[in-house]
Amino acid sequence: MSELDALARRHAGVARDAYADARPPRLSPDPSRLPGPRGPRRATWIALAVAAALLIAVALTTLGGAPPPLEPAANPSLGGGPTTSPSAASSPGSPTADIEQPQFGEGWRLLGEGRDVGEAGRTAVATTDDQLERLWREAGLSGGVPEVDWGSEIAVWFGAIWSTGREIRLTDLVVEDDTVYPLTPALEPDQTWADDARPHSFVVAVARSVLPDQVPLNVQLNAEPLGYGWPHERTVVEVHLAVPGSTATDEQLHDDPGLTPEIPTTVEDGGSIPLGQKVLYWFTPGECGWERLGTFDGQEWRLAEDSSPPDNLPPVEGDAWLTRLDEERILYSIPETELIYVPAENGWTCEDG
Amino acid sequence: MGPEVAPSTEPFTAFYEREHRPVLVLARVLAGDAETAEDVTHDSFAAALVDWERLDNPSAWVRRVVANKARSHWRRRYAEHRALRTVAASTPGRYELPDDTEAFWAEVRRLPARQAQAVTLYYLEDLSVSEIAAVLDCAEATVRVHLMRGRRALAERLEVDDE
Repeated sequence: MSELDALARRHAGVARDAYADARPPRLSPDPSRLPGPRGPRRATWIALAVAAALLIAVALTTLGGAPPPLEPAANPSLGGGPTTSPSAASSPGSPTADIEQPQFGEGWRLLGEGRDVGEAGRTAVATTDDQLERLWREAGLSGGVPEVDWGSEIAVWFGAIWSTGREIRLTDLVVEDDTVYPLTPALEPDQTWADDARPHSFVVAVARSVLPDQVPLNVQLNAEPLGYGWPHERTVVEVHLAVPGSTATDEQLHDDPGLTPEIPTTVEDGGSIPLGQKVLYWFTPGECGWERLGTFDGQEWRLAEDSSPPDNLPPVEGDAWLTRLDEERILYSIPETELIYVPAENGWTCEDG
Repeated sequence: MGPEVAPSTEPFTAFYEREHRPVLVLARVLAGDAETAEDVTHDSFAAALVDWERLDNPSAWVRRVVANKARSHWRRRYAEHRALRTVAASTPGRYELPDDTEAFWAEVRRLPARQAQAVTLYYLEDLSVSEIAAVLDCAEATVRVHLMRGRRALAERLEVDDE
């Protein structure tokens, strides 16, 4: 037995021993708990984008893509304290009513929040009283404008997006390189949600001490832009705000014109995918699993022989991007997975694959 | 790994009782934390229950699902759950591993995913090459390559002998 073998078997034994008293819990075989989209077709492009962005945001933090958490604010109760619009409270009896919105975290404190107020898919930054007044008004929050210690803090409005059946909370802020964004996980990520995209305003004071030492600074709604437009998802700050007391003029706080709207075209089984075009398709695997993509432009498309499904997992029903690369190939894309589909020969059945 | 049992001859509950703990340990070392491991294990068995009548080799299948779910793509979903859980209530740590054991498995997880899975199944579960091939749904030759490369890389990183 090699040194590695001995070491590995010892640590394997330790891991097994640690779980010596583990007992199987009661399973909840409710299909709605299982990962992957199930239930009725539900995803508008907005809901999809929100979900994808949430996953990316949390992943970047969890998997080491993000720097360490922010330092605590010097005084979490500085200023007028958190204010909350009446609409922010979860409705009584709601299964999520017991998960409260955190009032502060490391390097930030909540100035106010409200559901169904303000504007969805929006950010704004304030460095002066006048800017904060305007920001507070645009965020749709009630009550007096809270105080911010401009010497040590700035104020940020995140116009987040929630959907009926998919409430969110702002749980943390992440500073990553030249970018600041919030984590706004959904309370029930696997819950079927409605097709609506509703605003949820969060206004927070952010400690300057945790801001990156870079100009410009990007303050955005998610780890990655939602990818479907709204230049105002990202506020670009052209001033070094980490400097205590520094202010930015309105001209130095602007949307990012690079976030150009992109409204996806959708296609259904039996439809047409023009050459070079990328379209959104609701993939239903059926009995053929990965083998059959669907019928497009009058022919059936099957998985190319040299294209391997991901990790040998069964496919799940859900949205996928299809790109017609050329006459003979369609590229199927979902996060971390790309497959090539080719026209099926006459008489092909998925058992042939 | 438990014996290959045709689903028609064994009720799911017996399979679950028998396989839960080893699968949970597998999820723990592949995912790197206890909470994700519990979530991954739960969802994998729940998925097995849904597909129970179609599984030819449920022991291999549930390990394959766990191995895949423990990868980054899936960990994001569980991380999202956890982010909320920390807001709702803090839960005391369970099934903590000693630091040196944690560090060893962290090195395993740094390997390319397939190598990490093969090495883990080999050492943690004492699976043979053919059993690992069944779990990962690939050829035995592929498993041998993953094992060889994974062990070599691991030995280098840990600065131990693999001869």
